[in-house]
Amino acid sequence: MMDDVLGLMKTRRSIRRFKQKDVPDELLEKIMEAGRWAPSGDNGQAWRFIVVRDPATKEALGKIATEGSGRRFTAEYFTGRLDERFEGLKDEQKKAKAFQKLRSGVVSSFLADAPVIIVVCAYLDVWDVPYDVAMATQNMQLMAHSLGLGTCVVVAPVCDIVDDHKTMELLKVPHGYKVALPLAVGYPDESPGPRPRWALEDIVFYEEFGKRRGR
Amino acid sequence: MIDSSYFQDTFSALVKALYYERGRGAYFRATMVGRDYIDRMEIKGNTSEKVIENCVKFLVEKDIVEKAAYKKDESDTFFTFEIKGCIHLPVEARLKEQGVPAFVCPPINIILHKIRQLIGLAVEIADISVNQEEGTCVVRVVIFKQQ
Repeated sequence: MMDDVLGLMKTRRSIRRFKQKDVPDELLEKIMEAGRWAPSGDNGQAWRFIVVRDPATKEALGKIATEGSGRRFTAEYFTGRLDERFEGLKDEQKKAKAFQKLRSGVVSSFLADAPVIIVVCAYLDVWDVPYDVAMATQNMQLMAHSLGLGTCVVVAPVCDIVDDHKTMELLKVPHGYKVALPLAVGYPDESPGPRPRWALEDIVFYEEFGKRRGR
Repeated sequence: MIDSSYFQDTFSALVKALYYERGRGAYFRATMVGRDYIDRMEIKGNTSEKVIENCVKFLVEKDIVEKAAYKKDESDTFFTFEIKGCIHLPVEARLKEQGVPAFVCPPINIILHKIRQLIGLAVEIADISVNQEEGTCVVRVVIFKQQ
């Protein structure tokens, strides 16, 4: 079982291309049930979920995401930060294409094409909002993966507080709650490889920060 | 007379708290700081240049900044603002002492908010740098040609 859990974690990917096939309600309910069983500070259970299937709402969310990403990447382009990120890419044509994609914001447009978006919201009158909803979302992503579904957290519509307010208005989220993150859900239409990970020896310390084993 | 260091200490403590919650993402959570204040004032303009001019005039009149000027690059969208004598400089000094980078600029938030509101253009702060010795800040922003 331990290996199964680790295997599930290691094979999960962020999926940005989905088959245009609906996700049955019973599978969505299993995903949200997994979220419901996440740990939370003081058992506050801050999470609330909005299941979005309406094409107009998905399109509006995709638009907010696209504009937000486009603005941020354009700012990074002008400051040279994008160049720093892509310093390993020597092919200038490929680099220009990647920059164009990022600056246009289309990198986040796929949100509109996801068959379902589960918008994870949070009740604010609890102690540990970000940690609680993050743990719930991780549970949901792993459950979705175990069901053969793909997911991707798309923070673009809520990253900037101005966009965040637009998203709240769109989804009629009342005061006292916030949109934590939209989760795109669907059947994967791509099989991306694993992204690089730091080695354990680089990130684990013993007894105090920076102290490695045997030193 | 109110001791302004009280506000500087409390404001910087709040900014630091936000930074420790969100890290670099705090940048995007602070873009509305200053907006409520300016929305109570009468600022007009039908071009981004005019809005900037009117906002700067207002900020100087209110002693929020001593002066502010900007230049654009050849793309006509990337603006570099230099702000001198900003009322927030003592806050930034406190944050720098504590290793917190500059990520909140209420005067620029005010200008960008009014451009978004009055002209309908998309805007984005690119970066903020503070020079305490010279009492200046350089804030680079993108003012897009469209929404």
